[in-house]
Amino acid sequence: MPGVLCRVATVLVAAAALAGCGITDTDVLPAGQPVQGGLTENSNQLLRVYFVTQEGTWPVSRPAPAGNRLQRAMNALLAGPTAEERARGLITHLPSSTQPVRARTTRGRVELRLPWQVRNLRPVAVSQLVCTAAAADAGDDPVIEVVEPAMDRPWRVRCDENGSAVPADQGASS
Amino acid sequence: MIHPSLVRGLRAQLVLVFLLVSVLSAVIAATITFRQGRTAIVARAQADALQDLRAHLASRTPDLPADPTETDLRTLALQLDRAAGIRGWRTALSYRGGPLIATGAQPPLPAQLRTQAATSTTALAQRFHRGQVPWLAVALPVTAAARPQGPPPLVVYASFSLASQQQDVDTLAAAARAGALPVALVAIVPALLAARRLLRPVRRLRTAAERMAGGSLDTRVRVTGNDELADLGRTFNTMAATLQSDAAALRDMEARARRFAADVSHELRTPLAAMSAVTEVIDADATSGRLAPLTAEALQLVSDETRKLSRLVEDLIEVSRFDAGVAVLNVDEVDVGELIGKTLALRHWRDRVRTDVAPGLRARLDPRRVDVILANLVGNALRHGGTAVSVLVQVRADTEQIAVTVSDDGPGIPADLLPHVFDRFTKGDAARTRTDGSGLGLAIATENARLHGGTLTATNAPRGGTILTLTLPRHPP
Repeated sequence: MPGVLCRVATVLVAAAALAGCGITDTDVLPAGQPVQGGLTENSNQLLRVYFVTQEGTWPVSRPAPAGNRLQRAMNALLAGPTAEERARGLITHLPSSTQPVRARTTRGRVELRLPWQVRNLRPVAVSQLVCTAAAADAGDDPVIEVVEPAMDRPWRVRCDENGSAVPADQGASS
Repeated sequence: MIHPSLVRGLRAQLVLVFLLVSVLSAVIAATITFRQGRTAIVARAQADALQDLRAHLASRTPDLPADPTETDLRTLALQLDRAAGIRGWRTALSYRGGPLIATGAQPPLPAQLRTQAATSTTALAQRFHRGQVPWLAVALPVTAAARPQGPPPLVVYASFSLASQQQDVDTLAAAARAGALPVALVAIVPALLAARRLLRPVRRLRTAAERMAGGSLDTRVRVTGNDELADLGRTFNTMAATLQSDAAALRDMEARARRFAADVSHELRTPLAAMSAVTEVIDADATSGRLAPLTAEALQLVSDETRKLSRLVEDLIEVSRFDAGVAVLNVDEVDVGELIGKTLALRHWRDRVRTDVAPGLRARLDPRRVDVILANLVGNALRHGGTAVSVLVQVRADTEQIAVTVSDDGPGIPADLLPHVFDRFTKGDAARTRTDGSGLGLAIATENARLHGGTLTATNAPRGGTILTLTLPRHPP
């Protein structure tokens, strides 16, 4: 009888020891289907228009018809996200305006003439404008000159890696 | 690990087994619960993280061009990192097997996952440890909408720490451990109750068996219920009843046998008395010399055998009196020395037996029965000790008892015969069956001694010869 008891106790201790308490390692295990989407057009045939997500600015791809890419990108930005883009959580923080944003390229500089005062705009809205202009321009990391109404001196800014407008004179790229 | 003496009792064994079984079940239940809980916690964390990552990727990838630049990928990684929320995952992207692109430091990724993800068409997940902390890494391929069957051009890696899940699991383990111990302790109470319930009939049976062993064959146990122990109790009762009836039958048979022997002896007495009367005439005839020598010898033989037979019958009647319990002690205050002297004188043994008796020693005893005992002891000594035997009768007395020893210097009693010397019909020499004694003399002497509350023992003296000792209490019952 004591022998049986000893055996049972041993099994018990072994069971308790085998229980293990932590999170164990695993092999590589399948975890569902891949994600589908995007990766369709080449960059040259796309306009990148910056809208706003909860995580910051985000460039959406629009088909790029021939013509003035910069002005078309600005127009698309002012028009706001499409219904499909809104469904994906994209919004714009630019106020609506009857007047367009005039954009033109002169000697490697991009000039944006705004219908609003910059101080009336949210910082993220400025980022939208600057980054969309920067993406539409063919040049590499161009300086954007933002011109307010009734103001001659432009704001010299550029779009940084995080999709934010930063003054062009302070640190070329953050 | 468990000392054997601690588990010898049935109660201890029952409680221990009960305890072990309950501890085992509690531990197993706790373990299973814990394992399920752990799996659920980890699986939920993984599923939630994957779901979030998928949702974010699905809403961002439509904007990725077919030839994303490093900036595009870095922007996506930034978006995904910012979307991590409390999970705190860190992401890295690899486009067409290229190097990992991340916004900050690259997330920790097991090499196995990277190798398999390069060719995999499904999402992958792997848990691994980094330092002491468990981590979960996932690889999520993004296929081009235009060619969903083709190899996924983009693979999104994300990994995050499972430290908070580990905490939950630890809490769960602590709860499981804390739960198992009280269950085991609480199990002692029903174990004790069950042991008591089980052991009560066992104890009753033991008591009954002890009483039966003590002789009360009418003992029965009270049987309640219908279980195996009740069956055992019923069997015990049946056994007791059988034993009782068998014992009664045996007693009955024994009594009948004894009565038969007594009856036979009594029936033989009358014809033997007549024959004894005739033997004297025959003896006179045989010794007269008027008969032919052969006839005289035959007559002598008949007369001897008749005398022997009548003595045997007398002895048998005496034995049956003892057996029937009708022998009574007629106690009288007598002088022991005088009693011995009379016994020897009556049988003409005075000149052959020496005596050593303190004069004036008085005791309360049955003189007739003590005379029978002494005659037997001395007679035996004279008969078996040889012709020139010297017999000594000694009496020693203290306040409690009197010891009478009859010693001779004969050949002694054979060792194999010594234990049976007081049995009925024991003969000194098995081959020499035709001796004067009936073989009942010492048995009757023993019964007489026992009737006095005394004993009779036989030993061989170290220097040869037999010592027979009669011990009698000075105040018989």
